[in-house]
Amino acid sequence: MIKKTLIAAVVILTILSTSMLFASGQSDKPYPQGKDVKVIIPKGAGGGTDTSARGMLQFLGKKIEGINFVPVNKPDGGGVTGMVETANADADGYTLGMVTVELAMFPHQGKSPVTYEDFAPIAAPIAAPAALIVPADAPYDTLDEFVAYCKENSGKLQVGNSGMGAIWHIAAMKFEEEFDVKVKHVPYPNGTADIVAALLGGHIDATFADPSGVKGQYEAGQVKIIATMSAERSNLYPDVPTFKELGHDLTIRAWAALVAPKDTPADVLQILRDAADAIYDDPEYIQYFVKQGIDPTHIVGDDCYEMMKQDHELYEQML
Amino acid sequence: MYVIEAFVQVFQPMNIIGLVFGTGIGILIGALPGLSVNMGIALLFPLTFAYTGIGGILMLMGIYCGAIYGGSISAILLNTPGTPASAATTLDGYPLAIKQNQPGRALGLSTLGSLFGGVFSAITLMLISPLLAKVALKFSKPEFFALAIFGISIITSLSSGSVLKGLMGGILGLFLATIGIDAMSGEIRFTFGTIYLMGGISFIPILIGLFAFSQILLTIEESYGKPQQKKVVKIDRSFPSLKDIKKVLSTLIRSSFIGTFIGCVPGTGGDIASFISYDQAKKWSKHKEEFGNGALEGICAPEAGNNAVSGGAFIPMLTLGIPGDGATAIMLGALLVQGIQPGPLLFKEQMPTVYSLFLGLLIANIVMGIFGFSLIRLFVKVINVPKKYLLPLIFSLTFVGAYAYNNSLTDIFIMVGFGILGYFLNKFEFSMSAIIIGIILGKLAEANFRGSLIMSDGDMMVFIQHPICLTLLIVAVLSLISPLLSSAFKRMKNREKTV
Amino acid sequence: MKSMCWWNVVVSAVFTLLGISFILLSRNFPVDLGTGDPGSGFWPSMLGMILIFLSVLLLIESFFSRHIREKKIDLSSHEHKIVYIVMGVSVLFCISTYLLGFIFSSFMFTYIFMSIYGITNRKEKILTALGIVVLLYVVFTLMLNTALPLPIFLR
Repeated sequence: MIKKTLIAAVVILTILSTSMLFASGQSDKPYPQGKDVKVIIPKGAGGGTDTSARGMLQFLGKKIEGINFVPVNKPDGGGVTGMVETANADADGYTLGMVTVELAMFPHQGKSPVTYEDFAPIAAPIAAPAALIVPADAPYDTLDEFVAYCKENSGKLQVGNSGMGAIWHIAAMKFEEEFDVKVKHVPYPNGTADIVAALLGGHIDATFADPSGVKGQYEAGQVKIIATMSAERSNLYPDVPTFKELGHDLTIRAWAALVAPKDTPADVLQILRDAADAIYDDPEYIQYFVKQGIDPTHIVGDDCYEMMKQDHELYEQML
Repeated sequence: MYVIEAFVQVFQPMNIIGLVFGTGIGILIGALPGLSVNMGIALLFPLTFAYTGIGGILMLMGIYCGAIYGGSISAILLNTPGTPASAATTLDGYPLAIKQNQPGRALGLSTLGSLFGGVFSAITLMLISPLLAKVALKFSKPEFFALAIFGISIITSLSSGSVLKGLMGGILGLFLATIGIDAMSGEIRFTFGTIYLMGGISFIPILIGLFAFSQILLTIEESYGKPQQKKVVKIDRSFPSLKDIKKVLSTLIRSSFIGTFIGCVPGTGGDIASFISYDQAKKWSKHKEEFGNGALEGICAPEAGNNAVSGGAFIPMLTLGIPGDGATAIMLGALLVQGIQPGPLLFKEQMPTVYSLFLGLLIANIVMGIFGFSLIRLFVKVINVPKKYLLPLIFSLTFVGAYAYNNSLTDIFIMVGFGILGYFLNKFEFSMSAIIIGIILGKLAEANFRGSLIMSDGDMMVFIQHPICLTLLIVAVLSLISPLLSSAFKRMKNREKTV
Repeated sequence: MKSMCWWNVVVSAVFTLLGISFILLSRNFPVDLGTGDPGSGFWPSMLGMILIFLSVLLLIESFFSRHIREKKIDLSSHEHKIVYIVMGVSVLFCISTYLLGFIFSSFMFTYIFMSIYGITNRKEKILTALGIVVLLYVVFTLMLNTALPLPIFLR
C-alpha cells in the first residue's frame, strides 16, 4: 500500500516538474516553436519599463507565429541582477530581457559588471527625452529667460531630479555645463510622481524629467514645458521646441530596450527584429503608448545598438 | 444628473462581473503572504484591455480593495500578515482569535473595519477630494520627514514587552533601510560588494521571515508532542454585535480619517496608515491594558486605516494626476489606456466618468464587505486544520511567497535568516512590528531629512519654520515619551500604595 | 536556564557592537558635500550612536529591575531542540530549492518535517507532502501564473 502511494507520488511529482518546463526538449521546428520565451524585466511590476515592455511583447506576440512570451520581473539590485541574468542566459533566443538607460550609466559608477557590449539589441520601444518643466506661474517662458533667471539667482533655483547620479540629475548637470549656470539639485528618489507633486506644490522651481509624466498637468495649464533634450520634436508636444533647435546640442533620453544575450543566432535575431519593425505599422501599437502619454520610438536592431553605444560613451565622459 | 449617467456606466453586467472577479482574486492575493497588491494589479492589468470604458478599472479597484482586506485574514488566523498593511492587525487579531478562541468575532470586526474604512474614504473622495489634494500638496520634504518621525515614534506604544528593546529594533530596521544605492548622493552603502543588496534589502522576505516563519517556529515549540484538541468554535453571527459596534465606532471614524489623509499624501500608504491608526486607537482608549491581548479596537483600527487609504490614494491621482502609491500608479496607466486622463481637466470635462469612478470604488468596497462577511465561516475552519498538516503548508507557503515577490532565490535565504533571528528576538521580548516600522519608514525619514537640508542649504531651522512640520514633530515627541511617562507615573502610584 | 537579565547583557553587547559597526562602516563616506546635505554617512552613524545609547540604558534597566532579574528564559528544553532541528532543515530546504527546484524540495521538506514533528504513519506523510505540492502548484502556477523556483540544471 505504502509502495503504491509512493509510486503515485513520484509519478505526480515528475509530471508536475516536467510540466513546469512546459513543452521542453529539443524540437526540430524553427524558432520559436515549442518553447516559451522568457523575458526578464529588471524593474518592478507596474513601473514605466514594465508596462512598456509588456505592451511591446503583447504586440510582438501577434507578429510571430507560435511564440509565447513570459515576462518575469527581477527588480533586485536596482535592476542590475536582472540585466546580468539576461547577459548570462543561454543565447538561444528563449531568454530575452529588457535593459534600461542605467546600463549606460552604472558601469562607470562601478555598479554593473555588464555593458551594452554583452547584448544583441532587438528594439527600443521608448526613449523619453529630458524636458525642462516649470510651474505655470513661473516668471520665464523661454529657454533664454530661464537661463537669464538662473544667472541672476545663481545656485538658488531648486531643480528636482529623481536621485543624485540618476538620469534626470545628469540632464540638469549637462544643462549647467552647457549654459555655465549653477542650480540647486533636489533629489526625489521615488521618481517622477513626487517631482510633479513638488512642482505643483510650489516647492521646487523647475525639473528636467520625462514629459509623459506631466501630460495631464500640461493640458490643464498647470505646468509649462520650455524645451526638450531630444533630436526631434515629440509627436505629443509638437509646440515644444528642442534644445537642438535653440542652438544647444543636448540629447538626454531614458530608453528601455528589448535585448537578447550577445551570441544569439542571427536568424533568431532577424525574426525578432523583423517583427519589431512590423509592429510600428500597427496603429493600435502606437495608440497603446500614445494614450499613456508616451511617444513610442522606432529604434530597431543596429540603430538600437548605436544608441546604447552613444549613451555609454556619453556617460563615460560625464561620470 | 452625472450620478444617473454614472450609475448607467457602472451597472453593466460585464462591469459587475469584472468587479466581483477582481475582488475575489484580490482577497486571495492579499491573504497569501508575498503576493502584493501591486503584483496582483500588474498581473491582471492586461485583462483590462479587453474592456472598453471603465470596466477594467473597476476590476483593478476590486483587486486593490480585496487585497488590502485579504491580508487581515491570515494576520488574524495565522499571525502572519498577508500584506505589510496588515502587520498591525496581528497585534490584537491573533490574540482574540486564537488565545480567546473567538476567531469569528475577530474576523467580523476586521471585515467591519475594512468595510467602514473603505466606504468612508470613497465618500470622502466624492465630497472633498479637491480640497484634500490641495492640503496634500503642501507637504514638502520637512513635512514628510516629520511624518516619518511621527510614524517611528509610535514604536514606544506598540512595544508590549520592553520599550527600550522596541526602540532598538526600530533602529535596526532604520539601518536595514539604508542598505543599497543612496539616492541622495548616488553612493553605494553597506552592500559588501554584492549586486543583490544594491537595490536595497528586500522588504517582503523580511516581513515574511519575522512574522510568518518565526511564528511557525514558536508554534512548533508550543504544540510539539501535545495532542491537539479540537477547538469548538461557535459562530452565532458573522456580523459583529451591536454592542461591539458601539464600542469601536469612534475608533472606526478616527482611523478612517487617518487612513484617508495618509492615503492622499503621495508616497505613503497602507502600512504606515495601519500602524498610526493602531497607535491612535490605543492612545485614546480608556483601557490600554487590553491592547495586545485582543482589544476590539486594536483589530478595527488598523483595518479601517489601511482600507481607507484606497480612497485617499485616489484623491491626488484623480484630481492632480499624481498617484498616491504603487497600486494607483498602475491604475493611472490603465485609465490612460482607456483614454481617461486624470488631472484637473477630468473634473471639468468628464464629470460622469469621475462619478462612475467614485461609485466604482464605493461598490468595490461593498462587494469586498459582502465577500468577507459571507466567507468568515469558511475562513475560520483553518483553525481546526490539524497542526501537522497546517505547519508544513505554511512553511512551504513562506518559501513560495518570499520567492514570488522578486523571483529571487536569495530572498528565500534572507527570509529564513530573518525567521530564525525573529524567533530569538521574540524570546527576548523584542517587537517585530518595531523592526518593520523602521524598515518601512527608514528611507522616507532619511531622504527627506537630507533633502530638507539641501533645500535650506544646511539650515536646521527649516524644521521649525514649517508649521505643519513643527506640529508633527511636537506630536511625535509627545507620542515618543508618553508611554514612558505613563508607566513611570503608574510605578510611582504603586509605590505610594505599598508604602 | 539563564535569567532575562543575563540575556539582556548579551543583547546589549551585541547591539553595542552593531552600533559601533554602523559607525565604523559609515566612517568613509564624505561628510560635507557643500550642498547642505550632511552626507550618506551621517544618518547611519547617528543610528549607531542611538543604538549604543539604548544598549547602555537596557543594561542599566536590567540591573535595577527586579522583574527582569527574576524572569527566566528557557532555550534548551526538548521542544527547543526540535525547533533548532527544524531551523537546520529549513536552511537545507533553501539550498535544496536552489539546486533541485521547489517541487521536489517542498515534497521532501514536508516529509522530513512531519517525521521530526513525530508523525510515524508513512502513508500520511507522503499524501500530505503530495497534497501541499499539488495545492501550491495549482494556486501559484495555474491560477496566478507566477513562477516557482526551477532546479539549477533547468534554469
